[in-house]
Parts: sequence; structure tokens; C-alpha cells
Amino acid sequence: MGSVFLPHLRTGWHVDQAILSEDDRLVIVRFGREEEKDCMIIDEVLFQISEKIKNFAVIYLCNIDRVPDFNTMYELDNPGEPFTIMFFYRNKHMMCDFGTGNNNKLNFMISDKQELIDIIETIYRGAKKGKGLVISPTDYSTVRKLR
Amino acid sequence: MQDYEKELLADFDSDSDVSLEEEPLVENSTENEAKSGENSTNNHEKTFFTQLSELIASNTVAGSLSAILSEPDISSIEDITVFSKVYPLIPQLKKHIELYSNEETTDFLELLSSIDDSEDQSEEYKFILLVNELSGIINQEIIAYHQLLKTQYKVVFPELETLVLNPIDYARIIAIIKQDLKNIRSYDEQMKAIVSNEKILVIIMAALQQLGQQFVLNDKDMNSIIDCCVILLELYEILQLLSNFITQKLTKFAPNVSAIVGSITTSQLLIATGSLKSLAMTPSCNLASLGIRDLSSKTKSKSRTVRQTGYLYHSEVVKYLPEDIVRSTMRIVSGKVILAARVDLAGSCPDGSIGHTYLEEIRKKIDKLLTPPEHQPDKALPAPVDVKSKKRGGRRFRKMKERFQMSDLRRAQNKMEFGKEEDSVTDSFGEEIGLGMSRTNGGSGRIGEIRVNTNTGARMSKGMVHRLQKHEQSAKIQRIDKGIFDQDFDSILLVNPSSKKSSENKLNGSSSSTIGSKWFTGMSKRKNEDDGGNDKKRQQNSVL
Repeated sequence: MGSVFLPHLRTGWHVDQAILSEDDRLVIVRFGREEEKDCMIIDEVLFQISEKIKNFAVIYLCNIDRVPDFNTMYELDNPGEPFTIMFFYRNKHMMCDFGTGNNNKLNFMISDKQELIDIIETIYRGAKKGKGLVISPTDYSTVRKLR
Repeated sequence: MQDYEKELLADFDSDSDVSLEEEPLVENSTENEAKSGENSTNNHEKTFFTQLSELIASNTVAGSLSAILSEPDISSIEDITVFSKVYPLIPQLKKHIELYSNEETTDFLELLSSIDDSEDQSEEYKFILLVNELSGIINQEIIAYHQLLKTQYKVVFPELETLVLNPIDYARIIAIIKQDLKNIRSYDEQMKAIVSNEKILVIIMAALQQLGQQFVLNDKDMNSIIDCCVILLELYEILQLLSNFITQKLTKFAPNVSAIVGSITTSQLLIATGSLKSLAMTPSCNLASLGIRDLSSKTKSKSRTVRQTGYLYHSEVVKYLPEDIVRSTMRIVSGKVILAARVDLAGSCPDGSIGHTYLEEIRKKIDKLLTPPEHQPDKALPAPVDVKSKKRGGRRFRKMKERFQMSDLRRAQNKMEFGKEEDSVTDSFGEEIGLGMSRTNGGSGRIGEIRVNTNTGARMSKGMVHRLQKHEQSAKIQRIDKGIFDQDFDSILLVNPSSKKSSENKLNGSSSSTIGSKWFTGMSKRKNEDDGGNDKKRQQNSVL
């Protein structure tokens, strides 16, 4: 349901514009396929928090089948990756150390809304201070099972 | 079903006492009439009223429904009308209703009497009360006849009773189709007046299916069924008549109350309280508990949340509301009903317009209660921007910090000059303390160069200064009072000048001695004493 209400980015140009246009807020882009189960769940979570975080972040969705432009650049569509959430601030890619080894993106399930809000807040704080990499408030090295 | 019947019976039980009490009053009023000279009608009148009251009274004892149901062989009875106690009274009832409904308005005296006291209620009012009782009995009888009809008609068309649940419609349909299931389609038009088109279709389908196993009754049995239907319909008719009559009359007696809760509930409330006056005097909080069937048992109440399932609970305004707002609605309604009853008692609004405005208000309040709470959207969190915390204090805080900060001298002491030996002192604990650059002051060589912080010293508050001054002043005054000797206590102490000298010598001398020191005087004293004791012993020895 969440994917219906959140704004979709239809082309690569739209993705670029979304990242460029925001001056003061974090841009969160979810790359993935709406029809897959895990993606649906995270869409729901994102939709539920979207209203809460609207003061400092905005959420967009992007279907990697319809917009394959970034698949190679951002290494999307890896096997075993249900979805990819990426953070941008003023056209800069924000990295976050989740403890998973991949600081570039959030590619594991978080079903707790507050946890996700905490991560977004931390990234926003770091971005405001001009940092490119922040450390996630919780460590996910043990959460994610290696495939 | 059985429960309901029992409840009904119980209800009549409780009400019967009232009617029994009223009985002699009715006779009274009829006797009054007799005095006025209408002897011929009097007998008739009296019998009718007594019949009516007896009927109501007897109903509680026998219970016509249970009597019918417990009848061993129904088919053996020729005339079904014997079951009904109301049926023979119907023509008389009709006459009375006509009589009373034709009266245009109650005259002023009558109205007064109805207001003044429950003892002197008008005959018309009595009749209304009795009729109200009667409606319950008629309802009961309708149920009983319906039951009878069902058991008899079962052999012809058993499914009809489940298809048409309403007893009146059931009787009407039986009266139309009789046992002619074969040509049921031809009664289509007639049935349309009673039930909906879809229902007719279902009935026809069921009837055609039943056709094969239909048991055809003989004419006599069928006639008795038809008779039963006729009685049932007649009973229904008189019930309608009665309720119309009550409505019409109550709009006259209590137009505003009946505008709010409807005529039936109004009559119930009036009966329960006794008169319009006592209804008007009833506190509104008691209104909801009027007419509760059984206060003691909890199992009987149909609702879980509402305890007060009285007349008001079953009134038109409250009946169809969801459980959770019933309580508050009843509270609102009962308040307005009492107000309306007072208006009725005053007779200031005979057209019931105040009641209608009250009803409008109640409707609005119910609407408000029924509206779901507004959905409040999630409140957006504030952006997590780190703002530097404001520091507390200004000049005062700075001064306070200055007082505790490290002095320049101490800072200089902590520094060491490169390539030079440091000056050091030994403190009272024998530890060597380096002086660092505090002496040299970075090569300039003089201690005076470093300014000593003035604001690190101990301070006294203004209050403390003030207190000390006061103390000093008072001490001065005391000194003047006491005279010269108190000024310096030492000056009047008699001291051995030689010992003072010796102690001074000893203090000045290199060998440290306890004599004259402030602390260890006790020891020396004891020594002296010991010496003295020895002398005494010696003296004693010499004596011996």
C-alpha cells in the first residue's frame, strides 16, 4: 500500500532532479521492485514515517526495472538484495556505517519505524555538519544473515 | 421466545397492582356519572370498565398465552374465540374510543383535575391508562394466536412461518392463499400489498416445492384456521386503533413529552409515575430507571453496558442507537423529557412545538455523539539540528569563574625555564616545591612583575558585612558597660613573673620543652604533683 502513496521517480532524469532539487532536506530514494514482498514491507514502513520526517527528509521510490540507469553505477539489483535505500544531501551521496560492510546503502530489512527514523536523523545531523559518512546509531552486523 | 414470554408476564405482574388500585376509582367516577342522571348507560359503562380491569387483573393470574399453549387438544375446541379475553370486548372498546376521540378538547376543569392530583384524574385519563394496559395484553394474544396458527397451518405449508416472520403478514397471507398452493401464482398481485416482490418470489418457489407433500385439510379445519386469522387481524386492528387513540389523546395531555419520546413511551412514563404532575416532579436522573423489569437479576438485562433498560431505553429515540452512546443519550433525553413534562403541566405550549425543538436538539447531540473522532495526522518531527546550548549567566557568571580560575602567579609557577636550575622551597611537610618561573617571570627577574589576582580572595556578602558591623558595635557598647577590667582579661591575671621568664627562656632555647607550651601542660602539672607527693611521703617517713 505504501508504494501507492509515495512519489515515484519515473525516469533517470526525475531521479537526478529529485536529488538536486532539495536544498535543505535529506533525499531518500528506495530502489527496488514494488511487487516483491520485502520491498512492500519497507514501502509500508517508509510511508508510515514519511509524514513524521517531512521536516528534514523526503522519500522517493524508484523501480529498478523501469529505471535501470543507476543499476550499474549504484550496484543495484544484486542477488539477495530485497531493496536498496540510498541517502542524498545537496546532491551528495551520504554514507552510513551500519556495520554490514556496505556503507553506501541500506539494503536490509528494518521493520521498526523508530529505528529507521533514528538512522535518518543521524544521517541528517552528519550531513548538516558536512560529513560524508556517519555511524548508524545501531549496529546491524549481526542482524543481517550472510548469504 | 420463552424468556420473552416470561418477561412479559412478569411485566404485567408488576403493573397489575397499579391497575387493581385504580379499579375502585374508576367505579367512583362512574358512580359520579350515575348521579348526573345517565342511569341507562351507567350499568353498561360500569360493566365495561370493571370487565376491562378484571381482564387486566386476571391476565396476570392465568396468562392467556400459556393457557392456550397448555391446552391439551386444540383441535377439539370449536370456537377459537374463547381463548381471547379481549375479543368479546372489541365492539365496546371501539364505541368508547369513538366516544372519547370525538370530544374536541378536555374542558379546563378536567385539565385542572388531571394536573392537581392523581386521585382525581378524569375518566378519560383513566381510560387511557387502562387502554395502555390493554395494548400489552393484545400484543400477547396476537403472539398466542400466531403460535396457534403456526401449529395448525404447519401441515399445509410449513415453510411460510420462516419466510414471513411478522404474525400479521403471516395471517394475511394465509387468509389470501388458504391452501391453494397450486394456483399460488394467481395471488401474486394480492400479496404485493403485504410483502416485497422478492419475498413473494421466494414464497411462490417454496410453495411450489411443497406442493407434492401438501396435506389437504378438510373444510372445517381450514375454516377454523381462517377464523383464527380473522381474529388475529381484528386484534391487530383494535391495537392500531388503540395506539392511535392513545397517541391522539396523549398529544392533548402531554404534547411536548410525546413529541420527544413518542406516545407509547409517554404513556408508559405517565403510568409509571402516576400522573403528569408527578412525572414533572421526578428528577431526570430517575427517569431512565422507570420500567426496568427486574432490578435484582443481572442476567435478564439485554445490554452489557447499559444497566437501565427501562421505558426510555426502549423508546424510539434511544432504541436504535449503538450501545456505547445509549447511556449519554438517555441522560440527555431524560433531562429534556422532564423539562417538557413541566411545560405540559403549565400548559403553555399545547401544540408541542417546544417538544419538537427539544427533539431537534437531542438529534443534534446524538449526531455529535455518533460522529467518529477526527483522525489526526502524524505530527512531523522537528529537524534534528544541533543548536548550541545557551550559556547561563552573564557578568555574574564571568566573575564567578574568575574567582576560581588559576592565578597568573600559579600559572607562572607551573612553567619552567629551559636550561636553568629551578628555584625550590621546602614546604611544611618536607616536600620540595618548585617555584618555576614565578620568581623570574619569564626572565624579567622580579616577582612584582606578575600581578596578583585581586578577585580570587575570600569575600563576604553584604549581609555578612552588615551583621559583623552590628556585632562589633554591640560588643563595643558592652565593653563600655562592663568597665575597664573586662577589656583585657590578661592585664588582671596574677602571674608569677619568674615562671613567665623561665618559660620564655625555655621557648627561646634550642631544647624544646613542654612547659609553657599551649598543648602539653597536663603532663607537667602531673609531674609537679608527683614531686609534691614524694615530698609528703618523705616527710611521713621522717616522722616515722
